[in-house]
Amino acid sequence: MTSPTWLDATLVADAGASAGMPVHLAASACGRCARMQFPRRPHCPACGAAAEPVALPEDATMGPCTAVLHAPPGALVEVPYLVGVARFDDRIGILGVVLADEPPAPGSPLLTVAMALPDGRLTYAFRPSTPGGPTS
Amino acid sequence: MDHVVVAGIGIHPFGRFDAGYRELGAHAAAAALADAGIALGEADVVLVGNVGAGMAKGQNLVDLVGHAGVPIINVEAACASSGSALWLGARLVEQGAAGTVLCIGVEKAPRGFIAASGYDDWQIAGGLGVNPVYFALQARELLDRGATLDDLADVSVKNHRHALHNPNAMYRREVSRDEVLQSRMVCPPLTLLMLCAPNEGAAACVLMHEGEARRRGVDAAVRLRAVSLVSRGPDDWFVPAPSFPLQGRTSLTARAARLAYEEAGIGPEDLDVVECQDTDAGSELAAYADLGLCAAGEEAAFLRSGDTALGGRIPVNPSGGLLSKGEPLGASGLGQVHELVTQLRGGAGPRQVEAAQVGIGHVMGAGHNASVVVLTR
Repeated sequence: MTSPTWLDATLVADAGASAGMPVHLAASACGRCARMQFPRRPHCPACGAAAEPVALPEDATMGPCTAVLHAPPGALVEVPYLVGVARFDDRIGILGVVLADEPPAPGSPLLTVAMALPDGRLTYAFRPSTPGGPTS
Repeated sequence: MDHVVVAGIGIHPFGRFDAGYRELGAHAAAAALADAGIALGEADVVLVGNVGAGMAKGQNLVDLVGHAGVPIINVEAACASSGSALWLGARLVEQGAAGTVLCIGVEKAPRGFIAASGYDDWQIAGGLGVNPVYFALQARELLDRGATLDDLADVSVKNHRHALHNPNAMYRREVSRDEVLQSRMVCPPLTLLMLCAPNEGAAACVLMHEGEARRRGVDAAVRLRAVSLVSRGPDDWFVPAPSFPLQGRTSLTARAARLAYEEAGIGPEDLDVVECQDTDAGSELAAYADLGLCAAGEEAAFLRSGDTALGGRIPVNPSGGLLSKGEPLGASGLGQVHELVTQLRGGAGPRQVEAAQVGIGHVMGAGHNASVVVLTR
């Protein structure tokens, strides 16, 4: 079985994951000023020191959220869809598609997952991780 | 800055036109030259701000104005393109490297979403390369800090009312709060009438060293006292960055404003009139605090006080702003300069800010850049 194709496999620490599975985003953390970057960078753009690769936890919490209702140029995701900020440990906020029917409440728990696009390629997305929450 | 005079201004109305970018830009440039009373060949350099036109855009535009053989430099910095041209031109004049600089901003933007704002392919294909998303998320944060949907709508209502008397604006009709709230939802909470429309237009100005202005007998009443330009710092967040620090996030606009105020030796309390980058209603509210007009968290209260409307203490976007003028990306900054100089000259007619002496313009563009200009008379 071949590995799934990602839009950009460097975005995740577990590129062997398949659609719907939890994944860990591939970030970096500066050894000097502790700032985090996503996508990962070899050096800290703030202070220039070497940055360490970090796999973010699969769990995050919901920050602000909006929706895309009209197809943007070049997007493979079918409208309408939600886009929001997932907050990781109060350190870094990351934009992503949110797989839910309604915007999750601010502060509610999210899970980072692999999302299949209509052409079969994968990218990351977030979904509510509360039991019984929407999963698609 | 102590030596930079705004000797002439020109504009081509903002809207949709059959003419090409060259005609739009040449129209504004010729008007600015005529206003300053000089010929193209008397400019030491021409700076052209534009995003979308092709190779040698400025050269091909100026070709319609005349064949004067002067240096022409193209400047691109997304929505801050003409602010960047102004930054460069003002420094050339202030430092004596040029006596006269013609700055032109011009754009013929396609309809709809502004595409290609510097997003990576994975962002675009993955549905994240959408500029209004960034503004919608900012608006959500404003709502969390006490602003309401009515406040967002009222920014648009105010600016559309201001534009009624601006012949250069694309939309010159009043809109009601309900009309704004009920217009097509783009990215919640932002509706169509809370977002500016990318469009077409041009604006230009002639910057002149005060000594040169004196020698030519040019009206030197309006001065450029400062212009700042900043790019991404360690903790900023704007289009197209997919992530940002949750602690200690900073503002490009606040940094640009601080630098401009320092250079001009003034503070926000000295301002009479402001033109700011109201890409969307939330961006104008955010700019109130970032420009130092009010404290962070008090943006909505400041709007509700009426201070930022014409007749208020410090009118913001008396031109109607980008919400009413539309946004020709490369021309928006110089469009603000055109409005501010018109205001400082006392020539704004029914939208005149009474006794305006000090004004600022503010632009902010994709790729993380912001500029603030201070003009006085």
